[in-house]
Amino acid sequence: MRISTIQVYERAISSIQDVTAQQQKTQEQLASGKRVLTPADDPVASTRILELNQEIAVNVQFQRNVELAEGRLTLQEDRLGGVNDAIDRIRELVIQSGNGALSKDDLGFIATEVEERLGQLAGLMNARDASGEYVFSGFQGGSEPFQKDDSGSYRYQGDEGVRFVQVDASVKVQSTVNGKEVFEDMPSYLNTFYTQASSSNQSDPPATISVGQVLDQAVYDAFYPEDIVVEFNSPSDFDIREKSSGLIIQANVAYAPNQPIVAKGVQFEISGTPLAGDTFSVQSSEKQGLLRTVERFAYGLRNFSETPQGRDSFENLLEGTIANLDFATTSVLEARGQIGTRLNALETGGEQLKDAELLTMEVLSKLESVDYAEAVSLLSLQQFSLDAAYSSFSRITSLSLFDRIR
Amino acid sequence: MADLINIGISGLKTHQVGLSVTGNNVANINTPGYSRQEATFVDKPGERTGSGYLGQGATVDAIRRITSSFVLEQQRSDTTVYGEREAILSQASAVDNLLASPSTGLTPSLSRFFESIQGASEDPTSIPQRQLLLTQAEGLVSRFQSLASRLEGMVSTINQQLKADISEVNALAKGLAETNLAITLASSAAGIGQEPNQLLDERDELLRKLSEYVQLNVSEDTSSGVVSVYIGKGEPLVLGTTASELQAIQNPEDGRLTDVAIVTNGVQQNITDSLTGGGIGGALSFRNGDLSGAINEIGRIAITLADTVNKQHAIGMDLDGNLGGQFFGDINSEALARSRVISNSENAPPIDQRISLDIVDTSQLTIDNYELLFSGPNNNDFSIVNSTTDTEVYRSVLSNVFPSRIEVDGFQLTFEQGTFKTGDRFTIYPTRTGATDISQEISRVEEIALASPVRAVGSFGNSGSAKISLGEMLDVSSPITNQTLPEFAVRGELTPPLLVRFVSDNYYEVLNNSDPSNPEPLVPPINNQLFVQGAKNALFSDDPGSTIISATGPATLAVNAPSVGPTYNNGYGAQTLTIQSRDSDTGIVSVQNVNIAANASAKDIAASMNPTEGVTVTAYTQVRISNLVDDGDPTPLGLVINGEAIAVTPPALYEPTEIAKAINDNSVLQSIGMYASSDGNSIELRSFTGDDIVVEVTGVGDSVDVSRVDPYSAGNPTVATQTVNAGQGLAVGGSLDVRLADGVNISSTTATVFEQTPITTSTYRGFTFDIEGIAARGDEFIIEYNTDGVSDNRNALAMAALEFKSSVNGSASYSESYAQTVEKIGTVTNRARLESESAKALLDQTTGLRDSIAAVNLDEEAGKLVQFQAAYNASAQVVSVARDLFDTLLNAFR
Repeated sequence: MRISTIQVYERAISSIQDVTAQQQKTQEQLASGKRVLTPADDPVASTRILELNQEIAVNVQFQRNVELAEGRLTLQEDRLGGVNDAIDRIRELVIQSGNGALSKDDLGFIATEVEERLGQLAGLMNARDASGEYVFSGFQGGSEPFQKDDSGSYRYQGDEGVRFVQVDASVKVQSTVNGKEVFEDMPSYLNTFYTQASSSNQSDPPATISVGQVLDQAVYDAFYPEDIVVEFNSPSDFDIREKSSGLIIQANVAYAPNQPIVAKGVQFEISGTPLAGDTFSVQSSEKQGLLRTVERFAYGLRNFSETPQGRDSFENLLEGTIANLDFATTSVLEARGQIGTRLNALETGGEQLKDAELLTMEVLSKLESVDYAEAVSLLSLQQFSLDAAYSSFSRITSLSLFDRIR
Repeated sequence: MADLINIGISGLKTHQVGLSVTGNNVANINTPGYSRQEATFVDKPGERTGSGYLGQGATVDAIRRITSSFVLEQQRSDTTVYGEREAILSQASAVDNLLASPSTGLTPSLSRFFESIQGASEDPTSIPQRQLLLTQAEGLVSRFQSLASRLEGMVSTINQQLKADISEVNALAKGLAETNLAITLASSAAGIGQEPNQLLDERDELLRKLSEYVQLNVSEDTSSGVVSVYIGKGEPLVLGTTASELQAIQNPEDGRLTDVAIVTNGVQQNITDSLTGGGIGGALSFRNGDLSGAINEIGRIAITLADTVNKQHAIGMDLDGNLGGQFFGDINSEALARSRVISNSENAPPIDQRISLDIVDTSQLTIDNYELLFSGPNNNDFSIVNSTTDTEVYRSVLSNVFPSRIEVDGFQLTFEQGTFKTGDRFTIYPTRTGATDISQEISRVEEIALASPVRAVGSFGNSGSAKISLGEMLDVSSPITNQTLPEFAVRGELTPPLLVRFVSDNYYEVLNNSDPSNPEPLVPPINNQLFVQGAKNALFSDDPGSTIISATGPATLAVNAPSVGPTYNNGYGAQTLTIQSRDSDTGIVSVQNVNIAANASAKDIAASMNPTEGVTVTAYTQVRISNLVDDGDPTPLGLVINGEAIAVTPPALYEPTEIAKAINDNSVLQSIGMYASSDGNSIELRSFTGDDIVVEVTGVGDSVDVSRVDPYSAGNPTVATQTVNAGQGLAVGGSLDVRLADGVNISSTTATVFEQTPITTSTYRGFTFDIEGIAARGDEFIIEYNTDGVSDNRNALAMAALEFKSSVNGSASYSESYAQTVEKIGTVTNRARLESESAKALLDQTTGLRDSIAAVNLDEEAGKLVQFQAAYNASAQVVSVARDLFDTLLNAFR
């Protein structure tokens, strides 16, 4: 076949260019450590690489979530531990006050400590996290969950909200507990009640109702589980009714602020200036919150009367308080147990995430990273062929018939 | 002798030409397009002599190019292919690098955005976390926009390139026409078989250069050597000595694109679609194909992201307690909706049409562009064609009532106004500007809605262990009417707040809790709902189209006279109900009839309706017994309820409270779900299953008043009262709440229990809650606005979950969809690279073939030089011999 001179040159040069380009790419791969430099190098692998990189980013975020949730749960666990200790101390005080030799004054001293412990408990239950959020408030972390109302009793102001944190694509772990669940929803030894002013009351500032107490358990047990409604006919008088049926219990009672109102064995006080139409309810309940138990214990200590009847009712109170404190301990322990379980789950989850991250990294590196041994040997091979191309170029081009014609 | 000199001289002349041609070959060794030449020698015709024909020497017959028109044509076609692949490769690899690079691609911004949502969900009150989320959202928006602008920039680069190519082609075409003219002139001047070699080389080189830009169809007039060049579908670029001109014009559908037109004899014709091959063809195909696809894909991701995040954000609640609103800019703002439909610039006046495009379902959105075509024969006939697949997706007749709406492939076209005429065309770009248009609406950290606006709380007094779920927000505005749901019409409130109250361990009602001391029935009511103990009970429908019908029999009550084996009738008339249901997917309407017998109890009516799909009926009966009169004669007042004589155990008195207790203690009545209560004056009797309640009175001269109760109104007023005397009885029928799924309706030809066309009311509240566990009578749950719910992260979790949801086209998550786009472009680039390499190899091969035929080989020329030089020397020797002979002869005569 005929070969033109230009072809000789062009072929030699283009082979040099080809090898140079290949060498360039190998060099780039070596320098970056990556086998796939652009998606076009391996479209399928590069899609996988994008996905894997994202998987790693998500995984790292989940690991961060695990750490944060662990911190959060540890804080709750710590506060609940404090609550537990305080309950134990109050239980000792209950037992101590059962000593029949104690005088009313002695009980008064105990009452002082109980009240202090009450404040301590409330402090623990109103715990805040590092960013100032109330831990046990449910969704309403901006406000204290246990606030004193005008009658001086703590009331739960939060809700039943709990928060979850995502620690894996399909796994969410509960990272908060609400105060209602841990400190309020616990059985009461005896039938009890809680009081509430209607949110549609018109009085301003709103008239309040105290938390009250059971005066005569037998009478109240007979009425239980009905609810009582106090409805003001005018600012000066009110009716007391059974809520479900509307039956009148007492009609047209004259109102005096802070006067004890006794109905169906329970006693409570209303204060402020209620308007006509304002209602207050006494809802039967078989549950009593921890703070209420302690408050009622303190009230009992303060209002102890040295009569056989008073002694009886005090003994009943102590018995009920011990039982209720046990319920509280159970509830707190249960919550701590759940937190412990969650912490365990988080730890395992965190380890799995780390493993998954390593595994993903490994797959990624297999797809993306260059095999140095292979690339280096390829580079020297390319070097060799380039050398060969250079020397063959000089040899071939030095051949010319013109040189031989003399 | 003179002959010999002449022969010698002819040899000298001939080989001089030979040497010149060789020299010319050597001189042009590096001239592009040069074909080596060869002088062909012939011997001169002989002179007839006695001894035969005597040769007269040699002469040059022709100087001929050595080339092959077949190889040249092959070279042109290979050049075209290579030019096309090169153009695609250079553009595609630019896009390729852009999309996958961590510093310009979408993936890192996308995952950082969702990471910051995760971070915020862990600590929703944290302002720095919220700030980070805002910043990452800004980053994501600007990444979308910069990607879009880089890709759009590529479109304009290609446009610029096209313009440059067009002027290059014009210059070449003009040169070719001129060369053709020169060839014509030269050929007519030269002798037969003598070709203007240099001009022909020039012509071939011009053709080769042209073929770099576009695919050519070349026809050669072999006699004159003049070529004509056709491009596209046979449009003449060069016809002999005249050249047409290409022009860069604006695309009539899309003004940002440059099209190619050819001007022949002053007539302009758009030939963009028919141009293939070469740099122009490659650039056009990449611009209109893969580049446009990538722009649309990224636009679709942006639109889907904005839409899905907005929808989730809108049903959340922000730190200020307000509903979420838009996170990203509204994808269907008026300006954007109108920008998506572009009127063809060739439409006939008047251009007064206005069409807007709303994206209504991102999960159905394609990445294709569409064309709206008023195809006739009538002015209002139109069709919509998917421009990518070239299939008709919609055909209809436009009504003359504006605005007129149609929906196809996840978008809704609104014809707002204008005169639409046969021949009008509009181009529809649902997704093209998506990534450019995405914007961030939210600006304050407090506005980020990480919470949900509704929460549920169990009452402190609940004696059951049932728990209400955290709930799920579905909508704040009705997906059907797009109106804000009444529940969320008032800022910062749930209207009305709800109270779930268990009227028995197994039945609950939901009441309007606006006044907590006096909860009222809802409108429409939710009465008497069955609660399955231990199971998960959904409180509200999650079906936006669900409705409710409330029905109750005639208000009148009639006493039946005593007779042997009396049966008491509730007085409800017979009725045939027609239940129509329309399948929302297929649109098929199925019709079913339900017959209700006369005097059927509400329980039986419910039982006959419940098997129908999409119909859920609850039945219940409520009766008030008041005015109990005992005339004091020896036979005391007695009540028989549903055949059960009610006896009060002494010493209790036979008075309402005790009767209620006795009824509740009756095991037969208990077993049919009967419950009684009393306020001391009257007795309220309820049947939770909708049995007729039959009240009979015994005791001479005694009586009671029996009233039918309206369960739908506050305070349960009575609607009809009938005195029942001793020895008489009365049956009271129940009420029915009929819940209908989306697309189901009920009608009848008569009105007895149900109206002919009962009023349906929506029951969709935009949220659902579950109650699970063991509930007890009297348990209450309050559902209220999540006031102060700053620590709630439910909506944040829902937003974070979008990262993994298959939102894009219902089949891929945002990042998966993006990865698919990258893969697509990667594959295109990879293919272009391979094809470009193989096209290069082919071209090299053909060029080699051409060179091996037509290019100069120095060794060969050196050989020829020696050869001709030798012949020249020999010819000179011949002349010298001739002179010697002449001299010899002269000397002989001396």
